[in-house]
Amino acid sequence: MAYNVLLVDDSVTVRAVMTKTLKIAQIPLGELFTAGNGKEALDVLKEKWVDLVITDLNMPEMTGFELVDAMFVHEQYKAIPVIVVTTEGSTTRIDDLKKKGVRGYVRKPFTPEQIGEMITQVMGA
Amino acid sequence: MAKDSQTVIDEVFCKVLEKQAFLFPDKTPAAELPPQSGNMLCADITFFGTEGKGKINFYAPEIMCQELAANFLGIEPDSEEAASKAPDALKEMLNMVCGNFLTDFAGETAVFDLTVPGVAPISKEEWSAVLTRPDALCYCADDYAIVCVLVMQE
Repeated sequence: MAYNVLLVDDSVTVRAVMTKTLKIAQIPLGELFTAGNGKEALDVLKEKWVDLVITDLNMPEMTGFELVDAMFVHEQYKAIPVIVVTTEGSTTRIDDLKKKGVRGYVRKPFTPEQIGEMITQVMGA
Repeated sequence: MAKDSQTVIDEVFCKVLEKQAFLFPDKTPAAELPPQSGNMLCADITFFGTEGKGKINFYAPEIMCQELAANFLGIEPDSEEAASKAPDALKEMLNMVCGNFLTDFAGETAVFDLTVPGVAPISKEEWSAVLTRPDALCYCADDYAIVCVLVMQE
């Protein structure tokens, strides 16, 4: 089964790096959608079928924290696995996100292997 | 917060640049930095938390930021894509340094809010003024001059 992935990060550089990483990782990739903040991500979720959300936290307009909050109270979106890829290193914040339902966490700077392994772990592929 | 902030930012700056951008900065006195031609950029980020607040600025030549973007993406430094992503690459590097600095400095349980990083060109005069700051950490990497300034208020 190929996964449709929604990539959320305000940095065009990180989105480009992640796109390359996902394409070379040993994971079945279907469609890849991108968004520059949480609000744009919710717009994509409304329109497209998404199997996995990979999101940054510190973004303008709507942060990754707010995106996670919005997704986990939504009847349809709360089942979508979320992986957070961020510079945030506070265990207080990460534990809080995991309690809310975030399935995976990778800290920046990351390697392609770390991303591939986290997706495999979260999706059980 | 027992660690010295300048020591920690120095360690984190070098670590992130090496790991993410494959650039190996050497700490260099401002007076010994190679002269820079071309546009210079300044990126900034501010943080606020229970353990204090502060600001970090990076100053670097645009051409180095283009190389940074190329190294991030594994593309040619003189490509259009690397040129277009140069300012964003500097912002993202600053974002990574800031996040990692805060954990290394204040500990893993401390909580900080970060602003979204900004970037803007600076004049030759502004670049010269930065080099005279006593708190400027100056580096040389592949003949590029890079400056990091951390200001903290507890």
